[in-house]
Amino acid sequence: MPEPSETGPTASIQKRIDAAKAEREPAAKQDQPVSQAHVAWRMVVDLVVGTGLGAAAGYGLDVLFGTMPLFLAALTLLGFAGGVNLMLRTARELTSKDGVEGADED
Amino acid sequence: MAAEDAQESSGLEIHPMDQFIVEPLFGEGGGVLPWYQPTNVTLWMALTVLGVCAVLLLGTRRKAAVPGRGQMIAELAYSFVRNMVESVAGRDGLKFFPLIMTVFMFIALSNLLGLIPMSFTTTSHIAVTAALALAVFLSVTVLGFVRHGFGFLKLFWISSAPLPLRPVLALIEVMSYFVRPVSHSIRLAGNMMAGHAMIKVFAAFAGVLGVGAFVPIIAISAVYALELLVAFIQAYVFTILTCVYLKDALHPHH
Repeated sequence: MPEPSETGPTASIQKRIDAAKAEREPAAKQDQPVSQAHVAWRMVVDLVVGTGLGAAAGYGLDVLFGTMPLFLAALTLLGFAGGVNLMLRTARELTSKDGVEGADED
Repeated sequence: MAAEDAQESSGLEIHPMDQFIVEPLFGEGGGVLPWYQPTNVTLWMALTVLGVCAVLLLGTRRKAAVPGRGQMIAELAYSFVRNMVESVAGRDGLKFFPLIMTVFMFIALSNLLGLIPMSFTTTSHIAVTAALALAVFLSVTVLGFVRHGFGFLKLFWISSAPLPLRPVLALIEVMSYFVRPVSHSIRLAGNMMAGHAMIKVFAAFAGVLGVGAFVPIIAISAVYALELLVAFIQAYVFTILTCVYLKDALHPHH
């Protein structure tokens, strides 16, 4: 992308853009704790839904095959593991995103 | 049942979930509605679609170099979603920008329309959010298989793990994959429903407290402000997760 010229009609608008960007800077920082909260909420929902879905699928398979506690127990545990897996992935995403943001600020 | 009777005898009637009842626009409610019956859900979803069109089409109609307020909103929404898609799903994810923009605008606007008093919050129904989440889930899964064929299944096969562990991890990954659309839809519907029900409960308190009603009314104002924030954040979360799933479909070997 070519650099905007420092003189002429674009100079004043460039200044105004910079000023507007500077104004927006603190606002962008403020929503940080809120986004942390929704990440925490996301992890909790993933965990609960994982376990619930596993239990439901296990119960369904048990009713279908008549092997009552077998699939229920196995799939509940599997669902919980799946939920933990999603939670860890969210955490990894968060740390890598922070790294990217830190690099941008440099 | 007993609790309900006790509430009625003391004059405090709280029906926080009544606002989520689906009612036909014309004729009597109750019983099973035929699928073609227009209901309040139909009405508010149609209003959402019209609202999105109004914001994006009417807002940018003049195509001014220095945007007015309407154009500013449309441009802000556009660049916000575009940056999100590009930073999460990468440059080749931009092809699917129209889908993600549609999802974002629909959810954001229906959340906001739901905050109008006496309106109906379509996103508080799992039927609506599950349809959205399933649309994302199916299109992302189909896209993954179209792009990579059976190589897409490598998403579940973690090659960095030791070989004996891989089948177990694959099972867990498959489970996670199916948990995602469920939690995707429950999160949005749960958030919207909880906030709106809370406002209704406070409103019921305000109705019986007389002069002391100013306390719940202040609480309602605070919850309303929070709900305004939640309306945007939930739309944002739904959209960014759509981008994450898209990234998985485009680059399954990460």
